[in-house]
Amino acid sequence: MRNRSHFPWLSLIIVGAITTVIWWSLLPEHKREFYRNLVRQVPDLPGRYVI
Amino acid sequence: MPDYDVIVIGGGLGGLSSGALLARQGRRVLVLEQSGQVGGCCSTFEKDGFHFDVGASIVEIIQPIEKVFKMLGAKLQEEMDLISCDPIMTYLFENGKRITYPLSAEKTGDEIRKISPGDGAHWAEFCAFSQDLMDVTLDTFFSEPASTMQDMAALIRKNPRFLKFLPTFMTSYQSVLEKYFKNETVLKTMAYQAFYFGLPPALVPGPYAMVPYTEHVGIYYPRGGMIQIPLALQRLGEKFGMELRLNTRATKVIVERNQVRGVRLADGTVLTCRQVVSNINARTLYLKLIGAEHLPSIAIRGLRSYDYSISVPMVYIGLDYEPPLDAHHSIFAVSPDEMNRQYFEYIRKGKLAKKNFGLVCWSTHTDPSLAPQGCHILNVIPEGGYYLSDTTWDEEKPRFIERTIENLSKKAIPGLKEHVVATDCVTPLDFERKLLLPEGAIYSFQQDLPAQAVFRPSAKSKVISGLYLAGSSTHPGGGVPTTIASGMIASNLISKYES
Repeated sequence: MRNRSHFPWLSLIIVGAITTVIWWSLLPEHKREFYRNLVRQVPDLPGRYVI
Repeated sequence: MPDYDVIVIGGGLGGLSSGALLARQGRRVLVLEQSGQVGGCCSTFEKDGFHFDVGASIVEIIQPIEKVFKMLGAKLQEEMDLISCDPIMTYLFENGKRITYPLSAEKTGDEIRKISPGDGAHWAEFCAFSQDLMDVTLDTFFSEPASTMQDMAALIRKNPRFLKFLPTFMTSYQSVLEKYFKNETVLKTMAYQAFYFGLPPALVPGPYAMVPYTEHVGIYYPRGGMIQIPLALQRLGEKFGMELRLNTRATKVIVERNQVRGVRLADGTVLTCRQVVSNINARTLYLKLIGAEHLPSIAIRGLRSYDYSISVPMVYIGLDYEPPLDAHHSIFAVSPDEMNRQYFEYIRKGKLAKKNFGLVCWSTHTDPSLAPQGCHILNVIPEGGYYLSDTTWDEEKPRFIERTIENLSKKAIPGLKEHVVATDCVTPLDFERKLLLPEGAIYSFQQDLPAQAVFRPSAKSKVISGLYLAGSSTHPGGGVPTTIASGMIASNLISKYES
């Protein structure tokens, strides 16, 4: 029963991951650079906000 | 009673505009400039009778500058002779082909239609988008503080149409251009302007893609060189009692219980004041002039996390003839993807690119008085960053000047090198030594999305009372109109909070 209740969430996560991989692989290189640069700096944003 | 109401550190454009505006408010203002002249990157120097511009080579989007001059009770066009540049740009292609865009957006549309009828059809649409974006952002983003979420909400309240353009910030310069244009030649005539923000087209935030259009609203050059802009601000400030000390370096901002108390100079003199406006790099300000002991650790991490903006080597060439060019600016045309590649594979890795790309500014095309009779000036900005992997800029400098002239002679202006009568060069290392720009970073911090608005050091310090920031370190970033606007924002904030 427990495994069955996890099934929809697991499916959603798998579908989401596959969609993200496909979306990423279809992006042109310049868009990937834009997002890579953005994601790389996300941990810095709280420190930047307080200054 | 303190010695001054406000001490401004740095006599660049942001420092002078804030100093002049604060003096106009009746405050006792002192501007400290470590070098022998005002303007920083926006200045002019003389060598062998030639007047070369140090860095900035034109001014466009002049509305924020006009606004500051109006607030100072003056008219920009009466304070200096602003010459309109027409044509605005020549694109030099590898195969020897040249394309020149005139000032008129309509006539430029005709030129684009000749290259690609499809893209020509989209030019008018791109112009309408850019004009709308310019109208909205000049009224909001480029003239108001954007340091907190409340500031951002205030921008939207001031002009709700700003919301329409917020998604554009989540995309890149290149993505916006490629939405309108498909032809590679057309894209090559619009890619380089991304470097006006110190980054390749893949990393510059989308709203700045309006620049290939805003150039057609007007590009100007002040007669007598770019230094005329800071000199006019200095003149107006002094009219209202602003004091300027050249060759005077601030070494410490004195802070007691998180409140600014004054400034210590290099000779040990202490000057007291109520507020400090810093027009220097924000990391230098906080970590060296103030000291980490006054800052929360999260702020120190934030400050250290910024990437410095790109630097540039500038090569100045005096000629004894008129070079066969067509416009104030010429650019080696490269595609957006090639610019990205040059940035990531060469500049970031400390290599000098083998292929030509860069900007050639023919200042005497617009103002012949900058050079002796019959002579001309080319200010060249080739590729190159601060770090060089296998040499140093001091070693490289003579070779770099030679190679730049050789490349120009071979690929763009045949016979040029036989007419060179004067040369000079300011490398990224020179920018660091002479103008105290860390890593020669001409735009202070990188101007990508994670270093914009609320994530750029705040114009009103969030950690030290009485401390305000102007210049390229703070919102709205580097560039002639934006740094002048930053001074206006700082002075407005002081007027609001420190009456």
